[in-house]
Amino acid sequence: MLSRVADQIMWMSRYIERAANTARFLEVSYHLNLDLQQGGQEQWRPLIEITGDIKIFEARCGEPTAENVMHFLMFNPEYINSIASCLRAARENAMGLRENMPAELFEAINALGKLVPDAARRKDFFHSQILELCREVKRECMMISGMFSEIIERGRGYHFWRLGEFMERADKTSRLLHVKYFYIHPQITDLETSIDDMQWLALLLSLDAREAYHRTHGLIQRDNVIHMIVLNPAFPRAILFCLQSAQQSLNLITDGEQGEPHKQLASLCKKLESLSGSDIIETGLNEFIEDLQLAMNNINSAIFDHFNPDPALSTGA
Amino acid sequence: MTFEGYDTGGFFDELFDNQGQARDCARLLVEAIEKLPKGDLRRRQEASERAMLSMGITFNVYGSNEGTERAIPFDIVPRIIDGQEWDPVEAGLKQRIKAVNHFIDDIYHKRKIIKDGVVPEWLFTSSKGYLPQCQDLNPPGGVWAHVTGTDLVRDENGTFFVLEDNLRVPSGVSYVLLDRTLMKRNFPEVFHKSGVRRVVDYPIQFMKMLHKLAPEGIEKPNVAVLTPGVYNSAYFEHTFLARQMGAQLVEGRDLVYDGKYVCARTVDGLQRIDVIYRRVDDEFLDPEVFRADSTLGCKGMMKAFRDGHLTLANAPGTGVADDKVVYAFVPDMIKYYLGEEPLLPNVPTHLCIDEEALEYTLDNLDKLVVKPASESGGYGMLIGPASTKKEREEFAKVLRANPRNYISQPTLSLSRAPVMVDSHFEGRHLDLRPYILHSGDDSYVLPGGLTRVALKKGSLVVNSSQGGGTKDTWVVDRSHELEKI
Repeated sequence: MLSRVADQIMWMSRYIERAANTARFLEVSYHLNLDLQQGGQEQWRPLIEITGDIKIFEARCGEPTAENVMHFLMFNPEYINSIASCLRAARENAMGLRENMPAELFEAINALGKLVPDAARRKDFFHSQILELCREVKRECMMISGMFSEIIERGRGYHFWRLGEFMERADKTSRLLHVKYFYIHPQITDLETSIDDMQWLALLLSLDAREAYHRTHGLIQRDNVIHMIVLNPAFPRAILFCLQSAQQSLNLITDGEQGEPHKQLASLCKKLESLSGSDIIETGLNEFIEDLQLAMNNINSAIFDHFNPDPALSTGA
Repeated sequence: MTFEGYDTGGFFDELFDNQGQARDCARLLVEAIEKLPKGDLRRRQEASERAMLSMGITFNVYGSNEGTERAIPFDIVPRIIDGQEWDPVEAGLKQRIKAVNHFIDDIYHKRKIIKDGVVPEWLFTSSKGYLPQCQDLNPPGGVWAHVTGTDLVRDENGTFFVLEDNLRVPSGVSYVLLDRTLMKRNFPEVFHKSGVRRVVDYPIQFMKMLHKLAPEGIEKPNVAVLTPGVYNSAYFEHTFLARQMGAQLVEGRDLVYDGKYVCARTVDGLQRIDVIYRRVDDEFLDPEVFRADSTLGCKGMMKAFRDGHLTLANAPGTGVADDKVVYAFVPDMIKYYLGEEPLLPNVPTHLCIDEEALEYTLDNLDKLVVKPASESGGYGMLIGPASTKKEREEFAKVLRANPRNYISQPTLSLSRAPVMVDSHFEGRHLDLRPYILHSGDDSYVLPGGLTRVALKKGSLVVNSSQGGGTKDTWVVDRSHELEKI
């Protein structure tokens, strides 16, 4: 398999996962803000913080109002991580992979790339329909991931897709947690109040983890929420689950042969397996997440180096 | 749907004779179409167009951002050619491509044809496609033009003429294969009864030819199709051919020269490539030898080619013969290299570099077609009878300034075939591009080829960039049908 093809598969998958995650965050924030607005505590800024692109936003859009934030994240064609841009990039990667994938799958990704711009062009499109559009994006992205499971043979292409998907998801979950803790940092007065609970709840909702959480842990409790979304090896959006899945795919791609990315990924998984939710709080959540993100970035670079014998430009961002 | 009232308008019509009777080769089809219930043919046409869009059979339109992809228009009425009429055309094409290959090889070696005074020296030195870097190169098997798309037209008597040879990177063959797939779905019985010659094995023939012309000593060559990338207007065709041939599709950035071979960067390390079917123009192949700013090829490719470690199809430098002035000398080349009389005539051509021809051309601009020597896609030409006085005056200036770059030809009364317009049929002009695969001692000619049709009423320009569409082309062996009766 060409290195470029492997890279494009990973980026196609990452972009779709990224778009789906942004759609999730947007939808949950919208709901949360409807509940918070009574106290004048509407918060849109954290949503931009998750992306890590607050500077770009401020330079181009100014105040983080509901309208500005939603538009920026959903439609902005110049912002490379907007849902529209991610889906367009996924489609462009798919075009470069056309001879490697079933027509059905290409058609689905092709259609998805046009979904958001088409909505933006519709004359009768109004603000509140963004919510419906978010659900549609999420649904279509999940459908494509499902198609991969259903119709792609378990060869390298499949596992590069999964590798991209899980590395992206682990990154997004970690960012979500980061923002919750340090930008909606509980004010002293909020501590133990329902606002804090609501914010943790929003976090679980963003990850579709609410029911699973309640079944396992009952009432909302900080250490348990952290365990659920970082350390749970059975919940598919938890960071550990994602990293373990990425590890499996990576091992299958090289048929058991171990290289630098394998070593780094194994050591990160091992570290997480030994921790509990309260360990993380004791180390300091901020420090923990920053270390985690650094480790994941290093793994991504190691993956790229490992599969590019003579480095060319990466196709992705 | 009926052909009643269909008017051949005094042109040679591919399906009807000048009495309005269906030609023998087309009778089965015409009967089948006339039996269809009202609106049925239109529905089939629309279904075929939808199928093309959903299969992603599109070409990109340069210069627009969103919605850059369009499907090339497709007309559901096939063009039919009698097998007995086709056979001499096929023989003529093989003869022509053989001679052209001799010519290119000669030009890059001893230039005997010039020394012997058959063609003038300025012929190649002024050809845009001539590459001095290719002097004394010996491509495997001595083949330069592996694949050629030669454009043919028919005049009012139905005689085939060669209009031009596309020797660089001729495109369009994917439409032949796809149009055929759609037509087999639409008219299976007629298709079967008419004995239509198959085109489906083209990719296999192509692969066989590439295997045969691989570098010496390579048993199972690793073959790649080199594309400029997803934004190229023919990208779909590149992916389609790669898939059908079972070759790897690569871009310039996937390639690296390891000091001896051109290799692909793969997840398992560098992998040697033996044969490249390139859909990238000469000047972009190797930034060390040609355009330094090119990212579409790779450094070292020409070294690997020169050292005999790589086959490039078509070979760089082949474009020297893809020039409308050189074209005019092909009949002389056939006589010179093969000692044979040309089987397929050229369209009579005036070379404007010749003073007498230039004066004649200037005096008859309103009657002639004047074409630049090395443009393709129908750009930069003047169709005399369809031009305004002002256009002719402008053109005369350009022509005088650079006569070497122009040829003129009589305006041919191009043949026509019926196309569906709303709910009736109208005649439209068309041409034909057969594809010839040359492997040295033998050639394969795709039966029929790509029929391009000028969908605009009265238009003579068939290029897809200028409103042309395609039709499936059937070469039929009627004997098959007659046996059954």
